[in-house]
Amino acid sequence: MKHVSLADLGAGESGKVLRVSGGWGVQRRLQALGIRPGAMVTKVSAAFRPGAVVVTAGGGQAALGHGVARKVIVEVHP
Amino acid sequence: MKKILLMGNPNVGKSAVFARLTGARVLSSNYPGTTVEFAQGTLTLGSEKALLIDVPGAYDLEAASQAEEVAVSMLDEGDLVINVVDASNLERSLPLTLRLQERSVPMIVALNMWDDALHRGISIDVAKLEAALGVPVVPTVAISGEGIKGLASRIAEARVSQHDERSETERWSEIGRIVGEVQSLTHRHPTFLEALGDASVRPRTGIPIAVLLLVAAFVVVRFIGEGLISIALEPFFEQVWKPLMLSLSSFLGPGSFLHAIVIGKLVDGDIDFVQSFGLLTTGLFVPLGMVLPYILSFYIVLGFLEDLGYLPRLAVLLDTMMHRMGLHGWAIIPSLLGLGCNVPGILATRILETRRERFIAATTISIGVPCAALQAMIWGLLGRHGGGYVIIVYVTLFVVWALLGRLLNSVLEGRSPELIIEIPPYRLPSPRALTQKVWMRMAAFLKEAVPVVLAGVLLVNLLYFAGLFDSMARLTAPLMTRVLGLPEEAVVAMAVGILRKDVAVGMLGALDLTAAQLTVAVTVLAMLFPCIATFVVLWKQLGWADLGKSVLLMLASSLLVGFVLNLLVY
Repeated sequence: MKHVSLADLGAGESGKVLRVSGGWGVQRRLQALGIRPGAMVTKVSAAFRPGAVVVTAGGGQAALGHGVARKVIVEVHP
Repeated sequence: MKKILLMGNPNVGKSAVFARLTGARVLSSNYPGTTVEFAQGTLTLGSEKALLIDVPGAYDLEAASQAEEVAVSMLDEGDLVINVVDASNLERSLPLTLRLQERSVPMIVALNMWDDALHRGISIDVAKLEAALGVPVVPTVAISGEGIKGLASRIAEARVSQHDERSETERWSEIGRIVGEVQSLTHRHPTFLEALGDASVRPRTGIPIAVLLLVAAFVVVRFIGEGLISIALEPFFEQVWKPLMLSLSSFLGPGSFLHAIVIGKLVDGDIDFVQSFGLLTTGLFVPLGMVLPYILSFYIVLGFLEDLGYLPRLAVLLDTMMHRMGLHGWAIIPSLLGLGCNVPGILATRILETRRERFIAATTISIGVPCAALQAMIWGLLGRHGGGYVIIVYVTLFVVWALLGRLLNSVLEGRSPELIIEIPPYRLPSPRALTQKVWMRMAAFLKEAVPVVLAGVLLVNLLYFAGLFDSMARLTAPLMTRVLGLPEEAVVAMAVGILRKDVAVGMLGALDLTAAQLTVAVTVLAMLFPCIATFVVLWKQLGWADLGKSVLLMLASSLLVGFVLNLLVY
């Protein structure tokens, strides 16, 4: 089991969101897109760094800028 | 009159439901944030009429963005809410539904995109969902109209399902409980569109796809535009309209005042639709014969990409590049809309979060993004001298757009916020919805642009008679000739550009410029000053102070670029 940010998660890997740091506004917008502690997320694409990442969460897809992706920590089971 | 609010997350099809219920034409696309201003219309419920308001999309009621603030403030005025929910993504839609429930407002739920959910192997037990929410639930497919009658007939049943305010944790556990109870998933392989959707955001496949799509878009726009001109419009103007105008010309008598206004001047005894500059000759030929075909083809292609859901994916790919301009990837959407017409492009900058971003985006659009009318004229006139010159104009404008963004980013305080957006699934555009959207945009062009073109042509003729142009040309002669290498009369075209850029290019066409001069002139014209319609929205969007800065940037950058380009092309 390892803890990584969404920015460092490999494409195709899944994990469970442990925590989301950052301001209240960012947390709330991420939550609306299904990215909140306890939710399962799968990374669809890893753009060339420092690019945006796309994840599947809560039945849909969301795109996050690199800076935001670093604030989302997920737990990955090997 | 009763006020009914149409509320839901961004991109769940509220505008499509609105259009179906009221019969009004509103713009909808497959990306969140298409509606930045609310639209309203009336619908008939039995014997009484009600006002239906299409509220901008919101994820919840905390009012974090401009659009959400509008949504919350309108909630107090509504008598009833139609909550539009995305059936293919119940979990993401329910937070708002529960919030609305806690507000104790009479509500009915439209379970939209029902067909999409079925395709994805998602089935929802409507009766159970009704029971769980305590309000009527009606499955709909707004884009095709399915279920809309059922929705309308049950609006009267909308009711309050009283519930105390829940805590955040309670809300999520409630959502989990409802989804688990009413929704069942059938496992299936990803469809072609889903695979293509994922491939479009992965850099290795996404960048080639983006290049391919943009090249294809360009080729298709040219193909349809040129096709319409050579098959329909040129034959019409040359073979039908010209003989009519020639007889009118001999009836009015060349040399008379009326002839000069209506027909314009004859070139070697013949009407030249670009150079004659009369109301019924150039005044009609420029907007209808040269610009309209390109507007049509551009909006067909843009509408297709919008409804497919490609634009958010392009935003992902370009995020890094746009950050260097102080924007994030999402800002590419207003810029693309600006390629059709700067007015909707600048209006769309409202989807950006900060004032700084909106200033950068609006300014770079009005300077570096040429509208379709201007582009059509550039192709029509400069294209005759060879495609190379046209490419010089495009490359110059693109470099200016990117450099100006970088400059503003480094000069202005603050930094760009991060991208957080929903990526909608690819959906095959419905031909009916696409046709309607193209038609709406065409109608707007005909209604708003054609009268201004005619007014511009009239004004040019009157001012010409008054002799005002000569003094204007003399006054700015050093600037035009020494800095830009253009004849002094070119300033008149630049001034007319304030009204409409297409008319202005038409005037340049009458000046007998060399290809190099024309290249410099159209580039400067594109950057110099926005047309009056763009100027007005720019002012509304930015306010006087920022508009002033924006205009100074336009003047400085266009003269500088014109000067440099003038040195380079010789």
